[in-house]
Amino acid sequence: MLKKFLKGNIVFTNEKLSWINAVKLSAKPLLDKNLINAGYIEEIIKSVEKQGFYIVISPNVALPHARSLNNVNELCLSLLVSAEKISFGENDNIQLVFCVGFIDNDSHMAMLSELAIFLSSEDNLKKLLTAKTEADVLALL
Amino acid sequence: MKIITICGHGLGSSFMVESIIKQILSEENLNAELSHVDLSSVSSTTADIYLVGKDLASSVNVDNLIILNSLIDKAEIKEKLLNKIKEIQ
Repeated sequence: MLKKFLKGNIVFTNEKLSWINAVKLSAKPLLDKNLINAGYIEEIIKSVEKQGFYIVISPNVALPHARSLNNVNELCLSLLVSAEKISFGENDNIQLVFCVGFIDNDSHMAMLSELAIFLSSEDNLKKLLTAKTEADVLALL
Repeated sequence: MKIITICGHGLGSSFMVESIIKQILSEENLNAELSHVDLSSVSSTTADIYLVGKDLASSVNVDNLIILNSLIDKAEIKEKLLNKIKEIQ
């Protein structure tokens, strides 16, 4: 299931990005496919500015998402793999940025559960951090 | 036993922790009722154990709160959860 969601939605960068530009770049494939509207990215950024870095889920991983009324068109997931470490507030080792578009309270559960179990393996996380191509990532799933 | 995971929106992160806990409990042959809530709903819930990420910990005032450095580190969640279960039993 993760493979289906991530296919065509994985971006790599060697640039040193700010957290805002990292969120924007992670969301770009979803925006290009019209799975989300540009407003969703603004909602995430505003939400973080108001509530703090709730999108950081581990020392290396951020999961930009927000509760949106009408800026997500379809349940969706994308991934930015950054060669450089990105600072999300005090969390300055972020290299994996998964952008999630939620459409309701429960349709994402199977997808997110699979993502959580996948990321909970340290071995998977290590391999993901060294992935260089979309094929590398998809082969892990 | 009831276990509640907490995050900012009650949508994503708390459910990810819940998914990992579900796997741990199953591997340990333990049973518990699991749910996930957003920060503003915590005060209207009761549970034996709560879990929250370190970034939100200062906003949560409940007994038996486990504070996680990572919401997806199975080893950390397992160690802290099993210790807490022992402690309250």
